[in-house]
Amino acid sequence: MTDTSRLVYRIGMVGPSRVGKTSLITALLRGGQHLLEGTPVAMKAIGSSTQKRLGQHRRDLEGSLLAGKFRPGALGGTQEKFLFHLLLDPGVPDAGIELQLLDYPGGWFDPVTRPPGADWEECEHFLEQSSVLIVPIDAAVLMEATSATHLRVMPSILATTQVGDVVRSWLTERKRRPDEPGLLMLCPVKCESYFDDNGGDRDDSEELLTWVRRLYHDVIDAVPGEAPHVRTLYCPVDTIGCVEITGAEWTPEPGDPATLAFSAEYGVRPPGRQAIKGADDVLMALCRHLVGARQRVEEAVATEKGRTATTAERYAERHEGFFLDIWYVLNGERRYRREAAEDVRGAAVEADKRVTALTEIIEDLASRRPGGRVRQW
Amino acid sequence: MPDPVALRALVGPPFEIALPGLGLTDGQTSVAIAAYRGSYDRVAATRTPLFPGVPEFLGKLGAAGLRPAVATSQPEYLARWIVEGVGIDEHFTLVGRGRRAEMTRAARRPSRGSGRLRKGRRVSTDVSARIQQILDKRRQGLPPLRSEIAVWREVDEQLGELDAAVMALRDHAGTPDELRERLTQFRVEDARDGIAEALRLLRVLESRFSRDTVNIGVSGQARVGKSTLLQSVSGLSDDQIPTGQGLAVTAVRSRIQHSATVDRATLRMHTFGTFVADVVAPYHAELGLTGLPAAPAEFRTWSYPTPGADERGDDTAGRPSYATMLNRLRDMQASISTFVDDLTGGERVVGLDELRRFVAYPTNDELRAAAAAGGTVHRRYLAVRDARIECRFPELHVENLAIVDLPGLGEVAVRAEAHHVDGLQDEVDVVLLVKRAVEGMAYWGGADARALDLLDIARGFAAKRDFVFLLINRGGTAAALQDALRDDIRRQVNIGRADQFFRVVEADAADPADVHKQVLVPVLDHLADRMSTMDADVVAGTRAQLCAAADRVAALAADLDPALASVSPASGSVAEDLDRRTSRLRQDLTGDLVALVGELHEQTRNAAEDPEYVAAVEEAFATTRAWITAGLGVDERSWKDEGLRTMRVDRGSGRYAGEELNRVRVEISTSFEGLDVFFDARVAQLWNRVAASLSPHLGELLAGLDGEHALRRLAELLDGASEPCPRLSRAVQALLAVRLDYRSQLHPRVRAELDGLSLQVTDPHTGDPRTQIVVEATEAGVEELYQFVVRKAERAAHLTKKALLREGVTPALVLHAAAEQFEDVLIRSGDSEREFKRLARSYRDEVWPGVYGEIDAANARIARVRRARETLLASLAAMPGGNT
Repeated sequence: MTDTSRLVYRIGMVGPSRVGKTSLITALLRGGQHLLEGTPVAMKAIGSSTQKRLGQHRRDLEGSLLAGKFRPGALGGTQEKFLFHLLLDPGVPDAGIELQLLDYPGGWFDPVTRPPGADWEECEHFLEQSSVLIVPIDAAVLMEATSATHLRVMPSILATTQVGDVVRSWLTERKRRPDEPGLLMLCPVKCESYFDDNGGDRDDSEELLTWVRRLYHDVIDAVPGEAPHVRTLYCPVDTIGCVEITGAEWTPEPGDPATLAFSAEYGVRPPGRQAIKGADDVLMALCRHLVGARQRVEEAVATEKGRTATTAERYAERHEGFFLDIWYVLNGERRYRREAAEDVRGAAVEADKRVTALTEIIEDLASRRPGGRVRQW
Repeated sequence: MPDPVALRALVGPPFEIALPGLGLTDGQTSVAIAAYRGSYDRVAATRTPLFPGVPEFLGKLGAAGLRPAVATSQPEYLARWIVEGVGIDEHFTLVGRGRRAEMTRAARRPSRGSGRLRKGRRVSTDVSARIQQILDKRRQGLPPLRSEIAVWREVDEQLGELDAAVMALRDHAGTPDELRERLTQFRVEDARDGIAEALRLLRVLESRFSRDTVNIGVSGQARVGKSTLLQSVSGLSDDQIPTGQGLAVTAVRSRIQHSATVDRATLRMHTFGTFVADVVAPYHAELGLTGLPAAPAEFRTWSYPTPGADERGDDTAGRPSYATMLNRLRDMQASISTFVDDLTGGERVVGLDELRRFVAYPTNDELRAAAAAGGTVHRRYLAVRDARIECRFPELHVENLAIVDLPGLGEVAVRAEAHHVDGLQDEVDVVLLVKRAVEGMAYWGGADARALDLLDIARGFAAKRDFVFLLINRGGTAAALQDALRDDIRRQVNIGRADQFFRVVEADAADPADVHKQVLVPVLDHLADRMSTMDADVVAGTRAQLCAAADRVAALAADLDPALASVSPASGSVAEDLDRRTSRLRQDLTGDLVALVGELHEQTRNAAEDPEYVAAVEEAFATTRAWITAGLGVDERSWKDEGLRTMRVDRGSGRYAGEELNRVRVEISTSFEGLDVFFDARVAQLWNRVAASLSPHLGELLAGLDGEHALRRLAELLDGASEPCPRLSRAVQALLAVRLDYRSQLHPRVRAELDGLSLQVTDPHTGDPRTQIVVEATEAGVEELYQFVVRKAERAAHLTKKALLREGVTPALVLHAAAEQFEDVLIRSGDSEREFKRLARSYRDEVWPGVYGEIDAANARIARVRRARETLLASLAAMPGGNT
């Protein structure tokens, strides 16, 4: 934790490369920006690597949309760890909530398949600190399968075994933090062709839901046993929105004919403007998670009435991670209020307002009803 | 037992009259008479009491010049025995049986010679009548006898057929080993020997019953006076029947018969073939010579060894008779020219004056003359099989009597004795065995004993006492020698008691009257009295033999029972086998069809995995995509140009967009009809597989046909069967009616995927119609419209493909359902079993080619045995006595 008042909100992501994580993060960013329009809070990518990556993704996508059709790269293959940085920025230096999303290969979890030099300890530490784990799922893989062969290769393409391992490990860590809320989100992406609520002409959402439950039932079913306080949400996301699938191919991997690679072809619905759907549900879920965590901390501090702040801090430190971050955020807020009360000059007051607005917006988002696509298990 | 009054009534009348009066049947009467005579005859001569004073009274009658005679209704011989036995015979000039008038006339006729009455004519008249009765009775027995002979011949043939049938079955490769083993023990040789003996006996009986004469055989060693006796009986002389001194003279068996009207001889002649077979062949056999001459010329030049020059060291050449037989054979060969012209076969009637040359051996003078002259000795007798001589008998005018001259016993001639026996059995009713007491031979010797032995064989089932009379020829011999011989015969033959076993008569063979009185009269009396009994004995003996033979045949037939019983479970009837095979056919078909249906069911579970189906869908999809990307069936530029023109004219995109979307929709739908090629192949494949499951089990029924052709042929066969199989036919026709095509089966399921290819669509949320696209009538507008239509087309094609792949189960389901229905109806319908049997019965030989030919043949072989056995048993059951 920095010494700033910025809350670092660590979110783990697990899934094969090119499953659509970057698209999902892009969608979260675009969705957040859309949600926060007209508020004093902005959402943005921070850090050059994140900005570069998201920028490249956006350019590629815009090109594809202009071309009228595109074919995302096939899923699978090797993957490097990447940490995305997004910021809910109230406009106050060193304030705001930073969303850190760690994308790392599922294969790293298994020492046998972990490549030499992989920075697994950092990943492990990050996961321990993450009270939220997002599992992006390529909806097309599920929905375009037409044969038993496809079904057989589907877990391999979606790396469900590795994903399951990571989730169970994460749940184990959550189990050690029973006071700290946890959130597991299964997020099918590229869902545009299977919903009719975003320009599509057919609704195959139930089939998608069925497939997700069927393929990830190990993960879903593990939650109540491993960490009952963890909420499991199903949040399908149209990461582009203006496309629909026009072709799908299952082609043997060049080096391993028994393994199939999946690729889909998409056509762009005119006028070709991105229409993200479902990312707001993800954000709102994150907000609810934040609010819930904060309320927990406040309740915990309240129970320590009569004790000194030091005692309360010790409580927060005892929980480390997310709770400690929240504690510092609370302290930061208190600091801004104190400074605003002490310094009637505009800068301090403005800072206090912005931080307060962020909190209110988060609470507002947390209080909104989730969209019709969302399921909670 | 009848009361005394009834018994008294028996005294006087003949038994044939009196006994029926007591209620006896003819058969019972015969039996009673035979029983009575059997016991009474033996004691009548010695135990008949004489009334006191009778001898004296008879003496007075004779002294008074009266000639008493005995007239009786009882057998004449018996009366004579009694008269002699009680010692009063010297008083009577006649002891006879006949009507009173005849007896009276005889008694009044002046006596010749000794002063006694000539009694022959009178006696013979009675005897002749009685003998004729017997002969008539015999003839009455001929028809049933001949029927029985025919039955036995049939039985023999039937046994032969049974043997052939059993051998055919036993030797056939398809006969089970166990049955073959059982049949190996079936041997008919003994039974056939029994039948042959039965037939021989029946033929002897037939011969006996066929004779129109009573035949007295004259037998004896050479030179005992047989020919002399015959001359005395027949009145023939040396000119006809030679007698000789020292040499055998009678070469041909002759039958001499009294005839009041003709004097002639009927000769039955040899052919060269019968001459060789009957005369030459036995010599060859006895002499160990191989081969036989086929023609006179060959016989004439046949190389026979010279007696004494034969170097062979075996027993044949060393026997004393060898040279004799060889000499006789060479004599025949040397004389062939003298009789070859007589080897004509058939009968030749000659006068009695010609007879001698045909029946007599050459005399010593003739032999010497020929030797001296270097000429050829005539042996025409060699061409004669036998002779029948008819002439007027001087003493005994009995029409139905014949005297048979048999070749001399003891002659060194091949098969002479067997020939003798055969002749006796076939031709004579009684035999006179002539014996003459010559110096040095006045005893009953070994040759005589052997002669009796032969006669014992020849008599068959007749009692020896009835069959043989010993005749002592007193002619030309000293009384002492006669006494010696007589005594020796009594001792040797009759164990010291006169006539104990054989009756002995004595006469001078050269004295016709003596022969008549001492020989013919008692013999004829005997025959008249005993022939019925003798016939009954022969019939009974023969019958016993027949029963034994029939029993043997029946037992042999019964021996087949277990073997035949073992046949049924082994091969059974054709019907049973057909049922068994039909059941197996149905089971096998069930197994194959269940496997096929199971496989098709598995395909329904993995339908989308069917690489051929996936490939077919992918191909249809690729074709569709190519059509789309190539410019929607025209080309992109043309499409846009046309679109722009149309939209400008229309001042809007609606019509063009709508029409194009419709056209594309139809085109995509149509392009997926290319799947029908695959579906057709799949249906054909199903037919092929079903046919392939059926064909191997149906033999040649569907040979050379497969798939649809095989099934159509099967349906025709089921309809056209001699016993139609409508249910099975419908099952096949239903299978042939299976259709699998995109338009009717899959299109309805994937039709919704093409919904996007319409200008107007229904808003999924509001339910309101919504126009999907409206563009301006500009280049940009038409470009947008083109992209829209292409995207919609591609998506529709993609969704259709996806749906088709996910609906891949449908074709498999259709095929599986069709096959399962076929299997169900074919195998499990209520009519299935019955119609399978009909099919099997209708096309048995096509389904199991060769099987039933062989089974039929096997069953025919078995049936042949059964039939032969049953026929044989039926014949046996129909025989007198009813053997089964």
